[in-house]
Amino acid sequence: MEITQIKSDQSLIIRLVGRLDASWSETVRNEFSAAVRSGEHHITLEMAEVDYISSAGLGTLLILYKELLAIKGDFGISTASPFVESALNLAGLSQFLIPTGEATGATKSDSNRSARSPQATYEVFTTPGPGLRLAMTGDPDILHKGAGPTRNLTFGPTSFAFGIGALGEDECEERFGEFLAVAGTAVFQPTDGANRPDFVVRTGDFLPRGCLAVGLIGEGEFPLLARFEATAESRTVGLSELATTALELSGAESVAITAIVETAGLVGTALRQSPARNPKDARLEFPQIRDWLAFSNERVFRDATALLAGVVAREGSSLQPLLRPIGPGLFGHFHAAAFPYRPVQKGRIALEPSVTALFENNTVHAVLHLLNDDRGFTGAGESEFLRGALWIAPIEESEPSPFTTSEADATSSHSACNGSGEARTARLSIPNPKSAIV
Amino acid sequence: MLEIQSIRKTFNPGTVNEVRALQGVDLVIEEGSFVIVLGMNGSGKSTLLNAVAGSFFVDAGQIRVAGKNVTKWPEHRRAKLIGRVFQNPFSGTAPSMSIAENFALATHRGRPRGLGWALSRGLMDPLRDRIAGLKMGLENRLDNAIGSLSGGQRQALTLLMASWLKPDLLLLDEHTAALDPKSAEQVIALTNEVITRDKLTTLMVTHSMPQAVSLGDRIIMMHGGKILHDLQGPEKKRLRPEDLIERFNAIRAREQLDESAADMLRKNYI
Ligand SMILES: Nc1ncnc2c1ncn2[C@@H]1O[C@H](COP(=O)(O)OP(=O)(O)OP(=O)(O)O)[C@@H](O)[C@H]1O
Ligand SMILES: [Mg+2]
Repeated sequence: MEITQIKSDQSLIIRLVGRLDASWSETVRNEFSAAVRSGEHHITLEMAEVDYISSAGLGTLLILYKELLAIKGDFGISTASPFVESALNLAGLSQFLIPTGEATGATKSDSNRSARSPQATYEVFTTPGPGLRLAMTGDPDILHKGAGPTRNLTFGPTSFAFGIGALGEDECEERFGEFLAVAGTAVFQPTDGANRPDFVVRTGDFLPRGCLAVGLIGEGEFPLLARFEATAESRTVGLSELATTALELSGAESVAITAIVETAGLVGTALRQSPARNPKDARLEFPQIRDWLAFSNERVFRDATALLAGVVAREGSSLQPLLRPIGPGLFGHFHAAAFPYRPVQKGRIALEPSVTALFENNTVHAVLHLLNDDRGFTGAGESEFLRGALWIAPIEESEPSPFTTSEADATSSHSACNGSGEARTARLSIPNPKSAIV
Repeated sequence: MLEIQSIRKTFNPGTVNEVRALQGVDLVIEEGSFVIVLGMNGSGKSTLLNAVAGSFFVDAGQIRVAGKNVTKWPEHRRAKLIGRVFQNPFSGTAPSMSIAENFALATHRGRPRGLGWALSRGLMDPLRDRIAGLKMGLENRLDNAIGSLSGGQRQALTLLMASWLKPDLLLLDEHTAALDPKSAEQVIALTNEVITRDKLTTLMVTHSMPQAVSLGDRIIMMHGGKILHDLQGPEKKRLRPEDLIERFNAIRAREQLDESAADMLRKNYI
């Protein structure tokens, strides 16, 4: 069997020649998967010279069809040999055949505008809406001082939080690890010996509940959606470049970002023990640090799909205590949950269903604190991505001193993050969504 | 039952070749427990088994087998309590002697010499039955030199010999590592059968993750001359090979965290 790919503007044509039977169906299936993985969500097959197809071959077509259906892509057969055509008709799969004269292609994009950075291109969508408030909680010096008292939090559909925390009601502090919560989901890397990240996805009124020892807690909407794709020449785009672009697109000095990304590799670390434990240990000294942080000198979770939550700011942000350098003049803090690879649907997608879908097959590989390992030749560098979606909320510091200790401010009408205790609150809002478009 | 208390062993102390092979190992194995020993090359697995068998004396700590403090016993004296099978099919047997003679030798180990070398009917009949049970066609070759057998056949026989007298402790050190996959599978099946039937207290070293998850009731993972993980009960039961591989990767990653990475983390982590 011969397999040829022909790349057109909006879709991929795959031409098959020969017999599509059991001995070839797996190869063809792998070819399809690789195409979807490389970002092709509109695939047309030419089967005019396929003189035989067995059930194994039909099954392969059906798998591709379902895979593309799940990400709202499309799939069709533009030309078919008489044998293939009659097999499809008899098998009840004639809907795969594209009526002549009608070509399948991408639906026209409704993006407001497009943008470019050195290593990626972007389509940007805006949804004017209310802002997003952000509060800092806990002492950033947690690894030296240990975990202090924490509050119980509930994470609703418009909650946004990340830091060191845990899910559950009691004895949170035994499990404190890398944590993130967005769009009614929450996931964390427990440090009580369990290797698997635990998660809660909002189901009706069943909401994620947990505690945050240190981190940022926000509530609100993301007015900007930027779909990005690394350029063909560079193949991947780094986190700092995406973060810079997010700042530029928003026009703000600092932004909160939720992202779903197809990864080329993550560079990150994760707590191995809860900071509530062994308070006397000089935790970040060598070699004890080996017992406290898990870090591998290389990119991990290549070809996975990741959920990111983070903030990025230029120098001088009031969030500085929780920020670290992620690039020249750029400060940020990002957490990532790595999932088995699944393609991210193209175009304008909604945050909550897209995030929820990541948890569908019940597997989270790990939750990491992303790092910029800038040790030159020996360093692993930063996390790199192929494509994905960035939801961006500018942080507008409306008051000279954005932090108040008002608890009411941290509690929204969605009743998310409603705990007792102290939280310093910043207001995240968009002064004028139109002006955010450069 | 085996009780190991804070044992240490350093090879070539005070020289450039100094290796701290055991750095304080504590381990209690209940009677009848079948324990799998995992760990990367050089982690101290064989040294642990050798320390128990008495190939050398430990520098510190105590070893008790079946309630007896054997720490200062020489190897041959411990052999009364302990059966062993090594990786190399050519060790542990006398190649030029017949299968039957090897058995007689093995089963008289630690017993008064007075019983002599006689291959008594009392031994030969059950031996023939047992060897027939291996279905390796060896029951009619009891007079053949053991050196003429294949590696798989020899390991199967060595295992039978080592377990014949139902030792208080059975030590297996990668005893299928040198075998082809089919023979390894046969010897593993036999191992499991013998150990479970006679409820032998066992320490078995392997590098095979599938073996580690499917055999035994407990796994200890060694690293740097210490026990790093001890998995038993429901935790052992639900283990999958990929969980173990993940733990190995974590160990490797831990080694990679050097001083320069530590500096970077101090700067970049919150
Ligand atoms: N007799 C010896 N003399 C000197 N060094 C030794 C001796 N036996 C073992 N060592 C050293 O002690 C360390 C532990 O070795 P050991 O054989 O116990 O490892 P292991 O876990 O069994 O590894 P493998 O999986 O390769 O069999 C190694 O560094 C080894 O070189
Ligand atoms: Mg060894």
